Amino acid sequence: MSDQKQEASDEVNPHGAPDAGWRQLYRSEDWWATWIGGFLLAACLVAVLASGTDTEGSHTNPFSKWLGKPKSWSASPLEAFWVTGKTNVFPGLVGVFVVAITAFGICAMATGERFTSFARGFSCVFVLAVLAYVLAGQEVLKYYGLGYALWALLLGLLISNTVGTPLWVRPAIRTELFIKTGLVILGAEVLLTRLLTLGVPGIFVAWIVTPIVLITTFWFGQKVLRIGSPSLTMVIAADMSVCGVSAAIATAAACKAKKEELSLTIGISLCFTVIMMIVMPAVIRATGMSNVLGGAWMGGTIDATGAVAAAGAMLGEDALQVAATIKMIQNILIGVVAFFVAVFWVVRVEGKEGGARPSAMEIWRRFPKFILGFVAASIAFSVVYATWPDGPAITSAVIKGSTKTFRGWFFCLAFVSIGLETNFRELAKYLQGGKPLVLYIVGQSFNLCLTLFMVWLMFEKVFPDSLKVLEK
Amino acid sequence: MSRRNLERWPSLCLWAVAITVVWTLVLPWIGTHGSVRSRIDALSDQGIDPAVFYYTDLEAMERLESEVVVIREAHPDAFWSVSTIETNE
Repeated sequence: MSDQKQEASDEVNPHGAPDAGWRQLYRSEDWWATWIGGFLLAACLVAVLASGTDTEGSHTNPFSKWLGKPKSWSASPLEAFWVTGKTNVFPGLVGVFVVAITAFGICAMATGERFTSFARGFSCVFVLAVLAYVLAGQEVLKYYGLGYALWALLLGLLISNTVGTPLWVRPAIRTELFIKTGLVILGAEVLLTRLLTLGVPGIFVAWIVTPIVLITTFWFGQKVLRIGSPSLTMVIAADMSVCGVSAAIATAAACKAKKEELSLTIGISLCFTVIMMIVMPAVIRATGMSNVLGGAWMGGTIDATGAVAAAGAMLGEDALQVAATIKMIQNILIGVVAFFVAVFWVVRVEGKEGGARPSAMEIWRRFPKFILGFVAASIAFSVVYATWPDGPAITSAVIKGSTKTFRGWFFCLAFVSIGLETNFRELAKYLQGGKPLVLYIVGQSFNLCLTLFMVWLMFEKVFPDSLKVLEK
Repeated sequence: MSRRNLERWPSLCLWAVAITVVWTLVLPWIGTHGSVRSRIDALSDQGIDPAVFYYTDLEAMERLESEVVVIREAHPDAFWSVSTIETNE
């Protein structure tokens, strides 16, 4: 394989597909991700609308019992699948497998692969994803905030770095397709109306600080640390400033980062999330900071939503409320960040590489099209949520009952695939003498300081009444 | 499969055994310890899974959000209007 081809296959979002014009609509994975994601979202929405409401007046999702994942367990891994009278996830696993192999199999055929060779490999990748969910479901690991992404990645790495990834599995390793489809589906969960949940203080803490930290961290990584890869710098900056793993995935796809860069960022992020989840509540208690301020501070700085909630709960119900709400508002920023990073990349970063300023046609050709699907899903579901009668109940039934499950599986399949394609030695070269780690630490320190200042300014000085009413 | 890869099968088997031991013996044992157990139970009762990435994955989110909305709607000026501070002062 030539260097150029190898580089393209290493990207989370490889572009430059040979097909041009209309053929891209059914030949490129970018468009396939949009079609598959869009179809699944539409199908789930129609199913919820068609099934109407139950006897209690709640909207139901007819797909929910046919879609599932291994559950949380404490003593035996078998509890993840089946507990007498309580849990039986097998129909859910079969449902997800059938939908996924059909959707991605059609895409594989459209892009020149034989369905049988794809299906054989996909079955193996899916089994590894099931295993990753089972490992992640152990309650002690969940308690420390170590989710499925880490275990999926490690399982893939274990196989590829011991016996090697079998050739028959390779046709099903479609990291980009799984990630992009998962992101289009995630778009439905980016409900813009939730931005206003905590009024002006919430917007300032989550939406003003975050872009400042992101841009400053990117600048610091490029200009001061001189990290060779702009995409690695951007993925670390987005992961640390926005919302951890989900932001890293979205940004990596938007800026065409390499798979190893995404893996490295997630590894760093998970380590610091565990540390911050334990240390921050202790620091807040020791300094006598109010629970609301502490909650807002943690919500704006700890990467993952679950870890934010766990840290907030250590302080009290008021801290938990504010921390989770600030994080939710920040989560919504993921759509805006992914869109602007994609635009910035095709115009400024890739545009610069070519020398002359790229034309509008060239910008369109380079633009990762699945971002359009992601943004369209976000806008469509935000409209449903805000304007339809029963909008919140309908979107909740669609997301909780089905699309959230698909999105989790597709990301899990993507991380297994990344692991199966990655060599430990290749991963090590991205460490660049510890520069990514330094970038994360410096960026997170700046994030901690600026968020604390903004929390104090908004809740103590500008809107002190909000602090009073939120405190219990 | 190459000869070199075949030679690495024992390494994979060893890893598989280690994973099985840790996940079926060590972690469940840690989970029975007082402080860890009580913390897991407390978080579980509140609908909090510390390992989730996105807000829609958090079971408690709907409840927490609706509580904040109730507070905000009861005191809209506290969240939208700077002038209330001057009035109060």
